[in-house]
Order: sequence, then C-alpha cells, then structure tokens
Amino acid sequence: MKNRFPKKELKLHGTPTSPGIAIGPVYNFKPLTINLSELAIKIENVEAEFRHFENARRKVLAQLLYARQVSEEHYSNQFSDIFESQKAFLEDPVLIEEIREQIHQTHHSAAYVVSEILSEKSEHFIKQENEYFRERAYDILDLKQKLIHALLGISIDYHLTNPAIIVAEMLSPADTVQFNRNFILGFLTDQGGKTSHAAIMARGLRIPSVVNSAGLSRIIGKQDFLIIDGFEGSIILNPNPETREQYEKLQKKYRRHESSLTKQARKEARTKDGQKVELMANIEFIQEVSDVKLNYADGVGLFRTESIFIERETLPDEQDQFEIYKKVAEQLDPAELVIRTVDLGGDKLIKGYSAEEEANPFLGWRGIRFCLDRPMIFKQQLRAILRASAFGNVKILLPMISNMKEVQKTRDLIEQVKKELQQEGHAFNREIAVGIMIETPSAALMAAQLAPLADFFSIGTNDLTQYVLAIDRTNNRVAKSYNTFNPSVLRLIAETIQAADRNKIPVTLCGEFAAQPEAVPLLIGMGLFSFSMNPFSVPEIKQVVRAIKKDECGELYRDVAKLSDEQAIEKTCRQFLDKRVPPLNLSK
Amino acid sequence: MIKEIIKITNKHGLHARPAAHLVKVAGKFESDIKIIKDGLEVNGKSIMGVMMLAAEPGSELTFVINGKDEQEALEAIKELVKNNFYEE
Repeated sequence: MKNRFPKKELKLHGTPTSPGIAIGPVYNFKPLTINLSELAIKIENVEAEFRHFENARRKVLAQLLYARQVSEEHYSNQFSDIFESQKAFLEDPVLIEEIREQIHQTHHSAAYVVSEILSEKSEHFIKQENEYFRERAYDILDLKQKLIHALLGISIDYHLTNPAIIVAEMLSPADTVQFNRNFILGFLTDQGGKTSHAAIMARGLRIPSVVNSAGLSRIIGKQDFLIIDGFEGSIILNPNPETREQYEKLQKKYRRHESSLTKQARKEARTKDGQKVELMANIEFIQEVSDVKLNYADGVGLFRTESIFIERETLPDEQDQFEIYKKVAEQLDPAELVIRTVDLGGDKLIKGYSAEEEANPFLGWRGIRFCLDRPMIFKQQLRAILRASAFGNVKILLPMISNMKEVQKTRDLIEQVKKELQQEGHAFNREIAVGIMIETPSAALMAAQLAPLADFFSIGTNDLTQYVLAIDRTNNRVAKSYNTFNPSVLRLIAETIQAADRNKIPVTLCGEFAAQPEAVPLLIGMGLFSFSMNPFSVPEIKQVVRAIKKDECGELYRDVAKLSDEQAIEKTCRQFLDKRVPPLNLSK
Repeated sequence: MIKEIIKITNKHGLHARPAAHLVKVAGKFESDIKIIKDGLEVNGKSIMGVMMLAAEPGSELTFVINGKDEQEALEAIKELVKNNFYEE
C-alpha cells in the first residue's frame, strides 16, 4: 500500500476555518480500526475479564476528567456538555452490569462486548431526529473507541514528538485537547465546518485550520509533507521546492505581522491625534463569542441570525431564539450586541418558504420584505430579542430597508410586541435601540429622511455595492468590476454618514469593506468612527487606526473625492496606507 | 405494580443533566423502574437508557414501577418532573 501515488505536488481546496499558514509533516490521527472478529475470542476466566474491563473503564474516566480540565482551562466551558454526558455514560451502573452479564453469558472478550453494546446504542441515537440526541451517538462512539484501546493496551499517541499538522477524519473535543499544544502546527479534517470542535480550538490556539479535505485523511500519512493555508483554504500535499519556499515566505510575513499585532491588540483603537474608533465584530454563531474576546473587539456590531433559521428542519420558536440571544448577550455584556433580524431570501432560503423559484432572488422576497409579510415569524423573533435585552446591551438591526414605510411598520410591530411582553410580565429594555441597514440604493439616497426614524445606521457595503453597481459578484463574467471603491458607492456611503451626523445618530459600517485596511483611512476621513468586521480582522484594523491621524484622513478623502476612477482611488488609498503601515504582502 | 403516564415539560426534555437527575432519584428506591416511550422500554436507573428515550419537551412517558417502595418512587419522580428537574 505504500507509494500509492508518486510524491508529486497535489493541490486541493478546503474550507478555511482559522487563519495562518502551516507547513510541516503529517500526523495522521487515525484511531485504530480494530478487526472485530479478532476480538471475538472465548474467555475462560470471565470474572477476570470483567475486572479487566473495570480497569479500562477507570482509565478512560481519568482521561476524560483530564481532558475536561484542560478544555475548561483553555477553551472555557463550551464543550462541557459533551464531557458531562460521556462521564455519565461511563458511570452508568446499568450499562456496566449489562457489559458484565454479556461477558458472563457469551464468554466473549470485554473489548468485543463493549464494541457490540456501544455500537448498538450509538445506532439508536444516530436515528434520532432531534439534533441533541443524534449527536450523542458520536460521544458514544468516541467512548467505545477509547474503551477498546484501553482494553487492548493500545495507547493513542497524543504526545507529538515533533511539530506536525494533525490530519484526521474528525476530531472529538476529548481527542483535540490531548495533543501537546506546542507541537500542533495546524488541523486538517475531512469533516466539519466553522463550528466544528477542531476549528474552534484552532482559533482559540491561533493556529491554522482547514476543513472539508475531501477524504485526504484516508490516503496520507507519516511519509507525506503538507501545507495548509487557513486564509484561502488551500491544501498542498507534497509541495515542490518552489511552492514550499513561496509559502514559507508567506508564513514568515504573517507571523511577524501577527506578533506585532497581538502586542498592541489589547490597547484601544485611537488615531494618533486622539480620535477613538470603535471596532466591533460580525458573528453568526454563539461559539464565535470567544473569537470576539480573543481579538479584543469592542462588541458585536452584527449578529446574523439566518443560520438559526436555516440549519434546521422546523422554524425555531421564540424560546429557542431567546435562549441563543440571551446567552450571547450575557457573554458580551456590557459590550453591545446588535442583532440583525433574519435576512432570508436572496441566496439564503428557508425550508417551506422557498417553493417558488425567483428569477431575481436578490431583488425579491427577502429581508424586511419577507418578515413583514410573515408577521408571526417576525413577531416571534422580535419578542425573543426584546426578552434577551433584559440580559445585556442588545440592539435591533433591520435588514434590506428600502423605504420609510417598512421602518414605520416594523416600529409599530415592535411597540405592539413590547405591550404584549409587558402584559405577560416579561422583563425587557423599553428603550431598546432600533437601527436600520443602509444597503439598498434607495435607503442610501433617502438616508436623511430615514434617519429620524432610526436610532442608528449600519452601512452594509456588500449589498450596497452590488445594488449600486448592478453587479452580481457571484457571476464570474462581471465580478471583476465589483469594487466598493467605485466613486458612486463611496458617494452614497459619505452621504449616509453625513445624514446620520446631522440627525445625531450613530453610524457604523459592517461589510467586508470595514476589514480592508486601505479603506479604513478613507472612511475615517468621511467621518466614520465605528466599524464591524470579522473578529480576526480587528487586530489588523486596530493597527491601521493607531498609525494614522484623523486630519490627514480628511485630506485623503478630499483628494479622493476629485477622482472618478475606482482603480485610481484604490491606489491612492493604498499609497496613503503604505506610507504609515509597512505593507504586508501576503500575495503569492 | 403501578403504572402512570407522565408528561415531560422542562425546557429541553431529557438532556444529559435532567436525565442524570431522574436517574439519581430513581436510584434511591429499591423498586424496579421501567420507562416506556414509543415501544422502547428502558431501565429508569440507567442514564444511557433514559437518554435513549430521546424525550423532547411534551413527550409522554409511561412509568412502570414494581417493588416495596413503588408508591414513594412514583411520587418522587412526579415531583421531580413537575418541578422541571429543578432547572434554573
């Protein structure tokens, strides 16, 4: 089976889940698959075999307690549920008795009996519709594996002797925490996503991670060399010397850059001439709150709620939503949490509500339009957000506003919901701020009229750019002309900021543009002092803010206003930045 | 032997913590405690068993209790369920 393929460079693409570049040998974490028939040996001394099981069980229990302790020290308590149920299963007297009886009756080895019984249990769980119960199947399979290893005296080598990239089909929290953190270069797993255990831990440890590696764990091993790119998701197996050199340069740059960034990440973002700039984070999952804190963001400027609605079979009810919002609000308090009401439609569809195929979904039934047409769903969400406002600094943000009527209607609905909640005796913040997204051309053009109806503005540059330029950036033929530096888009952003200032309401910008370093001085020049971006960009943008003066940003804006070509504008902004922040060229 | 249908009303149903609580209460009694849901019968003193019921909020569980202290056991379980397993 060795040398199934020549060591030729192989480039694949996965999903990046934690930034950075890892280059190094592979440690393929493949818990041994045991051939069950080999375990089906007859045992003479059944009592001794049971004692053998009891020893193994205690050993696994100790491993688990250790893993829980490490996990709590380094990753707070986000995995404690998993450890809790695994521990409870291991201590279940009825299960232990079932195993004892089975050993006595069949005279099979304990390993065989454990495998049989726990496989059967996990199969029962995996059939469950409820996600919580279904996931317990993995906890049981993980336990089964650990018990069998302990029984057979196989010790899984978590103790990396050399730095390596951990490659696995999947990693349980109990497995992940066992590795010596100083030797983990990165994680590459076949399965998982942004919220999988390994991804969360990788971000916590600030090491690169890529998932969705198309079954690579099955074909690679010790003899292979690997590069993973946690920015773009590239996976390069056995790179040729040129590729390796290229990535080593990239890695060196990034490391230098990162260490200087982390040094100053704790300090606040203030320009050289004293202007405070608020840098907040955009998040989608409760697990990302730790990313917000690790990157010293000032709060959450955009909590997207679509995944709460999409990643499930049935609509979430008020209670489900309330619990999620409450948890995030509590964890962030006193920092603010801006919850955007659900923006379904467009490219994000919901089961049962997308029967009709729309010719132009981005111009169709989405955002506030969908919500106002489905007041039952909308009211449930508003109730949940309002109730959560009793537990932290919560604000409401309305997506896809394109006229004043939509804002008025929503505000009426919010008032109605407040009355109901009051009658029912629920606690909530009566003065909760209700802001609107400025992401359609009509909203930007009407910003002065919309401002009196809103408590704050949030400029969504991704959609605004696409609508103003009439460019679908997922369409490769036209995507190259998608550029937020286009003067038409910039003019609308500037006018929106002015409208907010005149009406004395806060304004923030929450698109990808906020994380583009060269855009930040220009936006500050326009008078924007609040940004919301992916949490990992916060340290870098903080560095930019601390290297510039508000006054010179104003000059930059005035210079740029004279230009009519987006490339010229982008170049001017880039030069302005390069003079103040030494460029970090991460391009290959 | 006594038999009674009890409805689960707590927030999440029989997740690990409430299930552990139920098992702990059941374990205090000598009587044999069986729980039945959708044709699956499990031992009420086993957390693995109780969780296998995958009981969501609103599900109805049939408790079959048999033994000297069956009445006390039933009362204790009803009290626990009524108080939603003393969550928060």
